[in-house]
Amino acid sequence: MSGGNSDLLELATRVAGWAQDGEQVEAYVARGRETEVRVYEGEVESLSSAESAGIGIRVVSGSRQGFAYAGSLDADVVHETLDEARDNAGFASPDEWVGLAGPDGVAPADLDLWRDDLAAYPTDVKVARALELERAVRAGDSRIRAVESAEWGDAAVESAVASSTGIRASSRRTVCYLSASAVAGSAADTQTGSGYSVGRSPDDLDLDKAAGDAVRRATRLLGAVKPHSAHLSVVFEPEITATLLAVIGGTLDGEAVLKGRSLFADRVGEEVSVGAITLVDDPTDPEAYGAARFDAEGLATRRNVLIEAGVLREFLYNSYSARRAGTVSTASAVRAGFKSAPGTGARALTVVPGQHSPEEILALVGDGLFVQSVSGVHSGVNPVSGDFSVGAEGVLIRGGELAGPVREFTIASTIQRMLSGVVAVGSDLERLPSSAAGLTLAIADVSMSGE
Amino acid sequence: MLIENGVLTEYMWDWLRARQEGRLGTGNGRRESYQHLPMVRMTNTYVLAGTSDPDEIVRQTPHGVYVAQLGGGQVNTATGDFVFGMTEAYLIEDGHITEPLRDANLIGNGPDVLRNIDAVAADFAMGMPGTCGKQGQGVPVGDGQPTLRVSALTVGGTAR
Repeated sequence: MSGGNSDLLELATRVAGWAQDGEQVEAYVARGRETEVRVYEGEVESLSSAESAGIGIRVVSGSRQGFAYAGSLDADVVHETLDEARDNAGFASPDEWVGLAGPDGVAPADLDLWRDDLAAYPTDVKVARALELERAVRAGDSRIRAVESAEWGDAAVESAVASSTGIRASSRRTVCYLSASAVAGSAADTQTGSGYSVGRSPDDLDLDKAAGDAVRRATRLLGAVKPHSAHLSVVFEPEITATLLAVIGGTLDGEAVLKGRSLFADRVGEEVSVGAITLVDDPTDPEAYGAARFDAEGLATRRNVLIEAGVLREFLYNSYSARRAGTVSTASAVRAGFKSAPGTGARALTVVPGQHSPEEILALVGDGLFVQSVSGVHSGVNPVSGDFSVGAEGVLIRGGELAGPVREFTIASTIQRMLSGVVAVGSDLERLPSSAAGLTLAIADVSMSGE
Repeated sequence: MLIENGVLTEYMWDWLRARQEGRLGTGNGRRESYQHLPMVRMTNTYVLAGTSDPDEIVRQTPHGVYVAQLGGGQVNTATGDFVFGMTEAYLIEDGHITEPLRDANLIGNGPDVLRNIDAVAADFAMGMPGTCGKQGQGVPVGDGQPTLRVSALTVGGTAR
């Protein structure tokens, strides 16, 4: 499966071999290339491409951990980086739980996440695709006034991690996307909507879907008014559900739980949602955007069931937080590239799909609110109390059908009440460029604040 | 100067976009680091002081919300719709600041809010510097204002 980056694993292994007595050393080596093309009114507005390669080294000495990184793989630099990580360990406060991951016997999933055709895809074709996307959005509806953005993006990343505790892991992945934001209507009634398509290979991308979603979402809101405040049932579009799941995933991070920063602390084994909800983080699913063979500490990823038929089963751990919590790593270490030491996080969250199509869910809800965008999530959700209050746009549902568009209002509840208030889970699983996939979800009794 | 006595007088420009429009730039081309392309960004934006007494503005407010600190927010620049979390806010009842509000946010429309400002106090102060995110780039920004009253804004939350 993943050849081509054996040099990275060799380098990581060599560095791990430099561990001195009484010391653990881990090297994480990554190399990546990315392109972003943005077009505006038929011309390239910006085109950037970046190549980067670097190494992040952890040294654990006694009960102290040091970390250092460098954006180079040159031999001198690598040596210096190791020295710095050693130095930094000397400054760290002792922590009895620090330590590297060690092999745990779990075999990696057989995942092929690399597509050669993306690496070979010419830049002029990427530009052409972005221009084609812009034209498709413009042509999608006579009420489209402008295309706020039309973009092509791609990335190819190879990485390897090795440690003096026996970790040897390497992997590589490609991703690409098309994304568009449409502006509909006149100056007096301006509405926006976005759409995108993601994949591993250019062939996976559905340009018409990206354009069509942006057009439909922008035009659907034309004539939107501020709604009267109410308590009602809401239906989330898949993208909104994914946003909610990503927030919930953050509260199921074992480190947040240990630090008392999760509303789910001490609730394992308890019913936290309706029985229709089974929430898994499964990076072994090849279709997941965040699919990965190994976590950021080199352990094989696995399917972790977080909520099973409404019952909270487990939290996500890396080796540090697992040790501290007296359990084992769920292979949920994540890093933002070689520049950061491992944290914990979900990669591929999803609610196991239900039976209902989006149309059936609208019919089931009867009267309520269909939500197509939310804003202010990073400031509007409290992961400790669970309070949830965000700005939203959408369409009122009357008699089971989309009726009047609404904007400039907030929806509010708590994460706990929302999980207990789920009335329908959609069958329409949608892959998104996020750590969570989406599907249509209906939730009863949410507060809408408008006029 | 972007708005002078209520009249929109100027936009922010970077060199590239200004040149495309055949005009002078305003020095607003900013980038996060060498890894990013420049784009038009705000830098240090503020509303000048008025003449009212801030305590008097509160006393003249029969029913409202006193916002002492805003958290993060998000703006749709095409429509002007925004949402901001309030990290410290209180109810104003009959001209007095009373109980604190928890985990609530404000939603509104930028141009509408500017038109709905009906009192501007003399107590200008700069806020805490922050980081503004746009298209994946974060840059440090400053902002400042005196006590301002907006005659109508929607407060979101779960109160029944």
